[in-house]
Amino acid sequence: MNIIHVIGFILMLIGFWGMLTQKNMIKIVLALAIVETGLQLVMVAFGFIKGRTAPILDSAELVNNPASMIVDPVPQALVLTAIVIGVAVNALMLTFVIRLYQKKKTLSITEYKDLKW
Amino acid sequence: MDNFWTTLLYAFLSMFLIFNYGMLLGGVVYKIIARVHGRFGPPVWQPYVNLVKVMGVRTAISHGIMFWLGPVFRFAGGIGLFLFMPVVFGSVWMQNFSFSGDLLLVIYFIFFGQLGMALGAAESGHPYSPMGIMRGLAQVTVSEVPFALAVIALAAQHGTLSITEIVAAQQGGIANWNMITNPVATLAGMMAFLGMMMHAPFNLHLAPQEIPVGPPTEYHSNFLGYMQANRAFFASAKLILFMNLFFGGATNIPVLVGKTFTLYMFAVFVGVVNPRFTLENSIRWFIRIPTATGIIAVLLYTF
Amino acid sequence: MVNPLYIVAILLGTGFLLPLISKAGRRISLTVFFMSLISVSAISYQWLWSFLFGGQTAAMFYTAGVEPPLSINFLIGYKEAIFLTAVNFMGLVGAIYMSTQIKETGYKAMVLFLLMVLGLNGLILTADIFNLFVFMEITSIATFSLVGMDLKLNSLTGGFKYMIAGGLASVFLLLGIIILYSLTGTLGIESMSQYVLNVDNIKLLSIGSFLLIFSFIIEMKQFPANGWAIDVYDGANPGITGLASATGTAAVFYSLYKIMPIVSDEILSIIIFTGSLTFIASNLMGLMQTNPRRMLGYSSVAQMGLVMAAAAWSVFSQNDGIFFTSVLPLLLNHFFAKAGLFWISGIIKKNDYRNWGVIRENKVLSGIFIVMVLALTGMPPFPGFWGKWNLVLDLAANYEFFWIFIILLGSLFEAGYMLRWLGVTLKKTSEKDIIAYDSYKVLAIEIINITLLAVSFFYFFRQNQGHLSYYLPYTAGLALLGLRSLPERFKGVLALTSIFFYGYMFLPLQTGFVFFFNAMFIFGAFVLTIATLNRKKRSSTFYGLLMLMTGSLIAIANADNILHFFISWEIMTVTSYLLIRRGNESEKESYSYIMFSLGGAFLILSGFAYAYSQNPEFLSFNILSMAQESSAAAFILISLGFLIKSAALGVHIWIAGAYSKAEDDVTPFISALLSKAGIFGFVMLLLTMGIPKTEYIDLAYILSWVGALTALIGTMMAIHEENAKRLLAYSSMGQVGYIILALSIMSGLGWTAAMFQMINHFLIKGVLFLAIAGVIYRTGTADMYKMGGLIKKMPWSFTAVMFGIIAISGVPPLTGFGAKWLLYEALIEKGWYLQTGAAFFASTVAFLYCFRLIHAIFLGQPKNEFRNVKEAPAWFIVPQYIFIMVIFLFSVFPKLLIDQITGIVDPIFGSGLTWQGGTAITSLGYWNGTTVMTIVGVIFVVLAAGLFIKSPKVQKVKQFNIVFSAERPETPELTHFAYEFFRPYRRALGWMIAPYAKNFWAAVTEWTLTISDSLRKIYTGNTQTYIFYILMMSVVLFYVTVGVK
Repeated sequence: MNIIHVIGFILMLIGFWGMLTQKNMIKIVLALAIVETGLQLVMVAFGFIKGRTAPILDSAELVNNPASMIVDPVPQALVLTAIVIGVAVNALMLTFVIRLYQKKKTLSITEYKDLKW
Repeated sequence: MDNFWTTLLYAFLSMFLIFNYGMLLGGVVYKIIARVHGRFGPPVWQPYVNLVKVMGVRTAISHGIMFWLGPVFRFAGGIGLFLFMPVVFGSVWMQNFSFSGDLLLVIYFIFFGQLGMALGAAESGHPYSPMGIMRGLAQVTVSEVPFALAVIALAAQHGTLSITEIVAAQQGGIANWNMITNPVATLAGMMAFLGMMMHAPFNLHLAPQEIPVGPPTEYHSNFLGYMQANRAFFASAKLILFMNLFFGGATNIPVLVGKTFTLYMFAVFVGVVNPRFTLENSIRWFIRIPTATGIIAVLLYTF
Repeated sequence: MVNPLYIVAILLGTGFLLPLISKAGRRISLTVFFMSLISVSAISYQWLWSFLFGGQTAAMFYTAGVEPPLSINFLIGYKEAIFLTAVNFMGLVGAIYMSTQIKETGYKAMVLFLLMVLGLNGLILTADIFNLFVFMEITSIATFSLVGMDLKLNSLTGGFKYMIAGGLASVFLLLGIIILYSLTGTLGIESMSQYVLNVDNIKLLSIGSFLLIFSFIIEMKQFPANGWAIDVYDGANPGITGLASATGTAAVFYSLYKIMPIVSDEILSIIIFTGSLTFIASNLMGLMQTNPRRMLGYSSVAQMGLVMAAAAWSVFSQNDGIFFTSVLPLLLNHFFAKAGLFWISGIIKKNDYRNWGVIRENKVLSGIFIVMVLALTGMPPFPGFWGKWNLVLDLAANYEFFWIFIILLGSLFEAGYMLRWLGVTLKKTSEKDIIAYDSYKVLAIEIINITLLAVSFFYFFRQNQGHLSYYLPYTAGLALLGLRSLPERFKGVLALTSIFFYGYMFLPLQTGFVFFFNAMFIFGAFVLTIATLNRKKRSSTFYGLLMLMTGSLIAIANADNILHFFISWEIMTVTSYLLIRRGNESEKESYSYIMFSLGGAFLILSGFAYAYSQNPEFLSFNILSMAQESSAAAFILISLGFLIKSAALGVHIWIAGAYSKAEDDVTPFISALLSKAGIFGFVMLLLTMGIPKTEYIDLAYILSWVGALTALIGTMMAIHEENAKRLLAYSSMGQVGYIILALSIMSGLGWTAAMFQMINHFLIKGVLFLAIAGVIYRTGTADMYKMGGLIKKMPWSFTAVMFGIIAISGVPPLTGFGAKWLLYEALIEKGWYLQTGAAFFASTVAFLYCFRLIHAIFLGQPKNEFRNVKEAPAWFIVPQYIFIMVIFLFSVFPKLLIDQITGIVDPIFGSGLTWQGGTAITSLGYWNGTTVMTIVGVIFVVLAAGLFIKSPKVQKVKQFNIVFSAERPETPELTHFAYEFFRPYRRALGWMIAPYAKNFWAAVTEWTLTISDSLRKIYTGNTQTYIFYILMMSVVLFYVTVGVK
């Protein structure tokens, strides 16, 4: 557990709080984006090992003995993928919000509950 | 089957006897009722007069085949009922065809005539006929309940459903009669008996006949003759059944006459001093005290 | 073998190229689109083929030949091949279904579609947990877009909810993945399941695996975090929802199944718990739905819960076999049926199931609809039946009775709303509606239907290897369903021939009770089918269903193990339901019938399962006898099921409706034959199990009172009915009550009485219902008070009814007396005096309805409108008199029948009856049917002859020629006294027939629906409520799984 974990989790909680309390759909999408950001921090933090460097083999020292010198590159690869996918999903969500706004001229989430029970 | 013809002969003899007994019994009852009412009343041979008169009527009206067959069913039911019962215990010639079936056959055969008659009368198309039938049938169904329970108690007591054996078990004095050895069942049976004898307070189903409509007016001439003759058989047969079941049966004809006459008088006396129940009342009455008595009688043998 | 990576390559490549190709024209792009779908399907079929027949073993593939984690790696095994095939096949069919829409939308829709299929394939194939996430997101994004593509408000709202839920699920998934990775240092699913065993930080491990599983719980749409999913099913285009409901859930399910080995048993139990809860809760909520798409949505999530729980169970109990015997059939059943139904709903487009009668306009669609609904309710021979059966037995073998209860109750709820929907569509409504039939859509649905049937038969053959001859009785029915377009009467003759042929061939081979019941079913079906030849109206399915029902009765009697028994029992239930539903205005009544029957069937199944749990190797009936010592529970469950079928008191409320609303020539089948199935069940049960003795209660004694009171109350209810068929229905209930009473005696005499009474009832109800059918055919009404005086017009029917009521009331000399005599002798011999009294009371009350039946219809004064009716057609009269001849035969020579019975019964119970000439002698009494008949006959003939001779000149008068109270009535037809005939009786004894049972079941229904209604209100439609449920569920489940340690 380090400070990055804590910050990441706090961000996630803020995001959840936002999703539960904000009525504006754009804000809900943003809250989800905040959750994702927090999550990404947490993921990176999991892969980080104190005292090691980035997994970029730019010096001979690193090339000779990478395993003990660099942090694990996999979580970072994962985070990159997750960011990309997250952006795509958020963009798609925002297009939905736009389309919904065109239908009912409101952004309040409480107005969109025709489907229920 | 060499004794078939003797059986048949004996059966005819006993039928002749019981017919006359039944007719006279009816006459005596007319007389008694009249006296209780403070009238002089008809002579005791009045039923014979009635019978001869109706059989002599020239015209007959039929509403159809079932109507025509109704009295036949009725009469066959009465004679059959009598013929399936042993009449005098120990006598050879008063056993009839009781080898055909046991007590259950006799009980169920009571319905044969009633059902056939009901069908016939209903074809006449008179609205009061089905009304009377409805009342009669409805009452029979409930008065049979205590009776059935009493019979079951007897079967449990004696371990048999054969009337002959039930009578045999009661021989040897009044102390062996089921009346004494099984008083609860007898009580239930006698209450049911009231309902089966067509006397007040349980004679509502005769009411439509008193408004001059219903079987006795619809059915006349020979049809009525059959029904009157049947009444002699039917009443006596039922009396004999109860005598056999609860009062030790009879070993000779005087005892038979004495016992059945007394039994009949029981129903008649209850009848003349009582008003008539409505159907609901009589159903409720039967389903309460007599049925409860019957259940007690049965429970005594269950535990 | 083609490298499965080509699947990705083809789909991705086509997806990227389509924008270019589309420039060349719509036709070419559509061709390319379908070609790519076909080619990926071909690749998966080829794999499946080589796994099935080529002895192929599982293989691993890497992109660019590099080991993970630097590449994508695919694992393809047997299960993967099955799922790939299913998903790609469905994708192709889905594309056909949506081809009109896709054509209109252009290449964008095609690209999204291909991406979705790509994602699904990837989910199934991928062998590492991170790519699972990637493919999940690809699938999701493509599906979101497809959902929102039609730009309708409901689609967009649903899609938005879907995306929020999906976003949350992927947050949990990523968090879980990273935690597990940090603990194990691997992303490969297989290696991870090895490494987790060595992890020290158990706490973190369980957190990680919980998060991983929880994200799948959301993706699998589990209760209560599934409101969004139902809204999507409701709101989106049925083409997409059908596809998503089938392929999406199948692929997600399979990826969940893949990671199950990673997680601990605690988490597996959470999956089982959540799945079962979802199954029952969603089905409960489905009961209140009127919108078919929403109904399907509830059913969909419920099925997913069940499949998920079953899969977790198979991993939990380390029983891989059950994956193939139960999980896979359950999934495939849902896969095809749900897609089919969603797609049908895309054609019919009615938002209220009550308007779905219009589907009758299209014979093909309505036929497919029936198949799909029956599949979904788990009827044989569809895969769902086999899945449920195997699952229940497996759970029983592990003593998991609570889950069995949940599964069966949930299935009952599901059947509750699915069959209510089906009921509407089975009969044409007056409503006319023009429905646009898109031929691509119909084609796709037909393909799905054929595949479903093929899969059904695959499982059928798989499960029944070596027992196919048992299903022989069904061939006639199936053949007649195939020959649907032949003329009606020709099919009737074919049916008659087939019954005769079957009886001729197989009856002589049988012995004992099997012979006895078979003889009754075959003879009865033959005679009763004669009456159906009167039908003139064309019906494509009537004879097929009738013969299937007859076949099922024969098959029940032939059953040699509990599986065969149960299959035939279910087929009997379904076919009889479909037959009853053919009657006019029978929707409510047939629904009540099928629900009670299904409830009964599930009770029987649970009883079988309980008995099986005691000896979980065999299916034969012997497990019932082996389970004897500890088996009061099994006995009670199974006998409750049979009691429902026999309409015993308390569960009888379906009987009058079902009997009276069935078509008039079908009712005799139900009363005379079908009601004996429950009796056969009892015979089978009592023969194998006896009546178990428990410490506190005497079950035989209780059963005897159930029988006696059924007889009494059934009869009591019969006398107050105005409708002839309802009257006879309650009469049937009473008569069957005697049979149960007699069986419970468990003595030679008692069983002789039971069998004699059963034959008696079979013959009489055949006569009476046929006679009434003839009367209704001529008069058009079953209300007795509307008729009257028909004796002159219908003398043959009258005579038949007269013999019928004499026989049924037990008046000597006809057979009814023999039945009563045997029963009372047996009861008194047993010492059950009070039951004897109750039975006696019942049998006297029976006179009342007997008289009422014949009087109200045939006697009294006729009504004006029926002055010119004719005698019933010979098709009705002939079978009646065949039965009457048999009644007379057995009345004069009861020994003929009793000898048959005692020949079967005596070896089991010892003899209770001896013969002296023609006299039957018991320990209590004696009876000679022959002499009774002779004496009565002679007296009757002599008296009749006497009357005839004495008064030859009888003046015959016509009806209406009556005088009473010295007046000739103005309107004699109004003097027919028939309505509320026994009113005084009701006033005095009405308390006995107060509708306690009806009120009780109404209350049960009411409560269930109220709970359902309150429960479904949690789905408020507000996205934030759904977010709240997801988060709360994660917290609660987290504390249950991780927090407790």
